[in-house]
Amino acid sequence: MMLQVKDLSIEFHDHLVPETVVYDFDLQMEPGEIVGIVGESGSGKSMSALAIAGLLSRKDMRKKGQILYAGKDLLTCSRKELRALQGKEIGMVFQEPMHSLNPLRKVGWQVEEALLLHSDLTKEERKEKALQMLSMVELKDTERIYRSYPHELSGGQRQRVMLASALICHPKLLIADEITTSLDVTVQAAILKLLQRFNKESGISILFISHDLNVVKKICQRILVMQKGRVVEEGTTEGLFENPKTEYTRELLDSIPKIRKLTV
Amino acid sequence: MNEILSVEHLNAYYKKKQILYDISFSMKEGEIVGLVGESGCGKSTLAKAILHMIPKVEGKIVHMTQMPQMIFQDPYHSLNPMMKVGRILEEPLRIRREKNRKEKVLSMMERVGLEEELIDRYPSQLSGGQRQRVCIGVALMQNPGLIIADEPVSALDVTVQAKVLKLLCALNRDYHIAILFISHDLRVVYELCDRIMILKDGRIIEQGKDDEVFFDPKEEYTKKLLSAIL
Amino acid sequence: MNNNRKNHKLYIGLILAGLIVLLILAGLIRSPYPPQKMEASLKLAGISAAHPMGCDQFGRDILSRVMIGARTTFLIAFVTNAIGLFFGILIGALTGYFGGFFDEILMRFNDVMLSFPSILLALVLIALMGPGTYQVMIAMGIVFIPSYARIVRSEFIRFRNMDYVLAIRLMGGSHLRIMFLHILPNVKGTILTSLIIGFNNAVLCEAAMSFLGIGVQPPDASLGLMLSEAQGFLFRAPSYALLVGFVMICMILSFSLLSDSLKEVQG
Repeated sequence: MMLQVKDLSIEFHDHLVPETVVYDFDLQMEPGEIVGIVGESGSGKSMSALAIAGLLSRKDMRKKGQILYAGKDLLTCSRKELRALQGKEIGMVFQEPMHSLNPLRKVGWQVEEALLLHSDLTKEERKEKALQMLSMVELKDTERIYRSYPHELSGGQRQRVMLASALICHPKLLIADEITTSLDVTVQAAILKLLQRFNKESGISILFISHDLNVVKKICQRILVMQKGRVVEEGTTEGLFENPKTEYTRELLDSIPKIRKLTV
Repeated sequence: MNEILSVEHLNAYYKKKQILYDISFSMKEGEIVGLVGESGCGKSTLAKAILHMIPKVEGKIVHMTQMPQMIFQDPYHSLNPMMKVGRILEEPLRIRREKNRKEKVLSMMERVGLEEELIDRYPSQLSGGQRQRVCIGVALMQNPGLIIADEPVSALDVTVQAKVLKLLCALNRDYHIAILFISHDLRVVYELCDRIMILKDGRIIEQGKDDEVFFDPKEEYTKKLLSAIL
Repeated sequence: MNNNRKNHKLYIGLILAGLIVLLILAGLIRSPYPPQKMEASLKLAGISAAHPMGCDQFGRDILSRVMIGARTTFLIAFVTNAIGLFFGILIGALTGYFGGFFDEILMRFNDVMLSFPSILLALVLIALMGPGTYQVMIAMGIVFIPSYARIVRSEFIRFRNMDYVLAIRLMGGSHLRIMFLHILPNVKGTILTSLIIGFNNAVLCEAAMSFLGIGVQPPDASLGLMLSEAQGFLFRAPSYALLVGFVMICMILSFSLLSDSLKEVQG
């Protein structure tokens, strides 16, 4: 067992009335597994992911339960231990490729940053590693991309750069939060293929979060369906698609665009 | 059927760079035409050029009725954040100095499927789908013959996408409004449209009936687009 | 916890503002002594029951003079910012929304204005118009225009290409309608922030100008003028400078605290 989340509840305390956004979230992940979390916006899927990545504020939020990564509870371990895991063991990529890169820094620097924090490599070694990583995510002309600024790249290229910077320390777990949502369909397909390749080659586990069952179906072995902060259904991908147990999952399945004409 | 829009040999430029090359097409009343292309291919520029919002344009754009209306991709930027829903829907009526505005606003909210109590909400208090309905309501207030919808569902959840698409489809059937539907997703376009145009690098490389383009594409690029979704 | 802190800000701001308003209002109705009345025997008298803030170098009651002076200072700060804001919004909105050649010219002129220290520019204007309370208002008002114009302009540039503005244009809404009905309300927050800074700057600027003797002229009173008078007697009557300074600090603090908590409530 690589990641085990037990009875996670997340409560916001920055308003007058505390608001619970995630109730009793449970998740087990084995090494090399790709698990999907599906739900509409506001279902708590991103919150759960942020909690697993240890990125939620410890002050304004109350969290119950446990997030055990390799036996260590991420909710209670020291900040130093948490920082040592972030980026090195757990990588995260977000939805907005426009906002998740620093617009003032060159792409190369941002890809290398994790190495700067987690390794003792020299400048040249870091650059070599970064270029290697950029070509791993199937970017062409890596030297040019290394030297360019985020605004000079397309959305798909930026998302690949994000993947490169998240994967450069070879984390064992990648959390991908809606990473294909704002991309064109052709680019979506390419990014999914890339994730699959990484999974196969380096055995990285992926927690894939999306609102689109159709995308999740393509790469995940197991799917959790979330609604209003609760996991309403969990199962293997085939099981869920062939035999959905709850009404909500059926509704999600129905809303996948089919190759047919819309009738009203 | 009468033509509602015709575009002939349109070239458009942005900051001295040519974005659109020799675009020609026409739309008939009550027709839904899909315009498909990847980001950066010029589809939004084409929409704005049709609405005369691009300063440097060559060619001919003929509107048979009044100006078309537009629905935008990002429902967060397409509504004035400081105005309540009721006031936003009222704005076109105010500009035309019409009477009985409140009733018209309420009946429009019903038409686009917004509950009456949302009238006093600000855009930030609405969901993405509700916002998009407000945008559609604002467009309909002006009784357009043609609505240009620029990626109207791309920023929405899939369940909400289906509902907004159904609304557009119902409007087309009930009021005979033509829709130019712009999207990067051929699947969504196929669901809705009678005719499909494929735009690549500022040129229309393929156009035809929905089934022809979807099931029997001529161009390599169209096949690539299709393989991404199947 | 967060919320309590906000409330503290609001309460302290309200109390301070209440004190200042009380002072100004009381001065409008009736001050304890005529503010210009001199009493040779009371020169630099300390704090007493009859004179709660003591007397100045001519034996005038300081409390009475603070009442009048606070009013003058407040009025100067208010009018200055009103002038700056009105023309700043006008220029900023027009240049930001339309852009183009006109915008370039005005903004370069603006840069020139901003490159002078504001007090120096006000000095030049005063030299042209002569000193006096109204002249100070006009001079400072003109000096304040460029910074407001710049802020408003950059906000208008941000909003002019937003989709909802395009939508209003498609409805046939006029440019003026878009500028003042659809963009300006969205700029409100930013303007409020700069207004706080502007108000505080105006109070300090007035003090500096009166200190240099080109602001409010004696025997009229303003907080700045009184401070400059008090500094001559800093060691013989420290309470004079301290009390006037305290009133000035209260005025600035109350305004910042109030607008701060107002913004938090809104946002």
